[in-house]
Amino acid sequence: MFIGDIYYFELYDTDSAIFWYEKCIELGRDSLSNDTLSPLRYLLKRLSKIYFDKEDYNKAIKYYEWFISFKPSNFHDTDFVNYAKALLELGNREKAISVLKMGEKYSKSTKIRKMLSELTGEEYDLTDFKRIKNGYERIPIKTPIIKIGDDICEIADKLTKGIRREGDIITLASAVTALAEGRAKSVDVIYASPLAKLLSFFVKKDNYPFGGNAPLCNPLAMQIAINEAGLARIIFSALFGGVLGKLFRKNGLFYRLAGPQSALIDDMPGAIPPYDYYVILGPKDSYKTSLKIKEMTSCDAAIVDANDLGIAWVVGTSDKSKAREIEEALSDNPQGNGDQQTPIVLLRKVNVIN
Amino acid sequence: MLSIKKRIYLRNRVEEAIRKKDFHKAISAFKEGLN
Repeated sequence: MFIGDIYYFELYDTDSAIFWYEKCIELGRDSLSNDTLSPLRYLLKRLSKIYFDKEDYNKAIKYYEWFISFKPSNFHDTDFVNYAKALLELGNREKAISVLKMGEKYSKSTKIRKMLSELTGEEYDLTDFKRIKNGYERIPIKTPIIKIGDDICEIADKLTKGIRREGDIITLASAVTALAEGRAKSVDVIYASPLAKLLSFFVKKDNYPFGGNAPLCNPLAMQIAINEAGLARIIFSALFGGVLGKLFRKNGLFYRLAGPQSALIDDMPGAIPPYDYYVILGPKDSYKTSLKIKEMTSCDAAIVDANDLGIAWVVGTSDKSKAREIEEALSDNPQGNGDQQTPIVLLRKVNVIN
Repeated sequence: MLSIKKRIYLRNRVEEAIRKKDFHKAISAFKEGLN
C-alpha cells in the first residue's frame, strides 16, 4: 500500500497506484480483514476514490460497497456523496438516496444533506456550523494536504495572509501540527508489546457505526503512549487512573496521570490519506509553535485538540489568558482535519451577544 | 514478515528518499522489503 501511496500522492500516477493497491488486496486476500489494524479499509478508501475520479463508476461502486459494509470510521462525508453520485451516474437513484440517508444519520455534514435535499425535495438544515460562537466568528481555512516535514508556521502565515486582521487568533488542529513536525509513526514500524496489547484491551470500546474508538484501544497507539510517557508512568496510570476511574466513575483519570502526550495520540484512521495508516502523536512544543506563528503574523495563535464530543483543548497558545475562551469558541469542532481539510480556523472577535 | 529492525531501517531509508523528493528511490526501498 505504501508503494501505491507514493505513486498516487507524490507521483500522481494513478494507474501504478491502482496496480499496487489491487495487488495488495490480491496478495492479502486470506489475511485482510475489516479490523482497523488491517490495511483493507485504507486500500478501499483509496481505490473507490481513484475509480470515482476516473469516472469508472462500476468499479467505484464495487469498492464503495465493500468499504461501506464495515461501517468504518474513515468512510467520510465525501465518500457518502461520491458513492451516491456514482450510483446516480448508473441510474440507481433509490440506492443513492438510501446511501445519503445513512450518511445523514451518522454525519453532521451539510454536503450530504444538500444532495439529499436536491434529490428528494425534502427540507434539511443546511447550515454548516454556527458562524459565531462565544463572541468569536470562526473562519475555516482550507489547506492542501499537510505533509510530514512541512513548515506549519509558514503555511499558517501564507494561508491566512489577506484574510487575517489585527486581533484575530489563528488556531491550528494539533494532529496536523504534529504531522508537519514529523510526529507520526507509520504502522509498519511500531511493534506492540504484550503489555501494550493487554492495556489496550481494557480501554473502553464504543464501536459506533462510522465512528472511531478511543485511540488507546489500538495496541499500536498504546505502545506509542508507553514510549512517550514511559513504562512506569503508564502502568501507574493504568492501575490508579484506569481502575480507580472505573470504580469511582471518573472519566479521563488515566490521561491526567499519563500526561498530555498520551491524551494527544490519534490512532489510524484519524487522519486523511496518505497519513491514515499512521499513529499521530501530540505536537512537540505547542507554545513555541504558537509564539513563532505570532512572530510571523502578529496575531495570537493556538494549537487546539478538538473532537466531536464537544470538547476542545488548547494545548499551546501565545496568550494563555485566552485559552478558555478559545476552547469555548471551538468546542463544537469547526476545525476539520478530515475530508474538509480545514485544520486552520481564524477566530475573530465580534460584538454580538451569543 | 520482516523483523521490526529491518522494517525501521527500510522506513528510514524511504523517508529520507521522500524528504529528498527521490520517490523512485523510496519505491526501490519498499520493493527491497517485499523481496
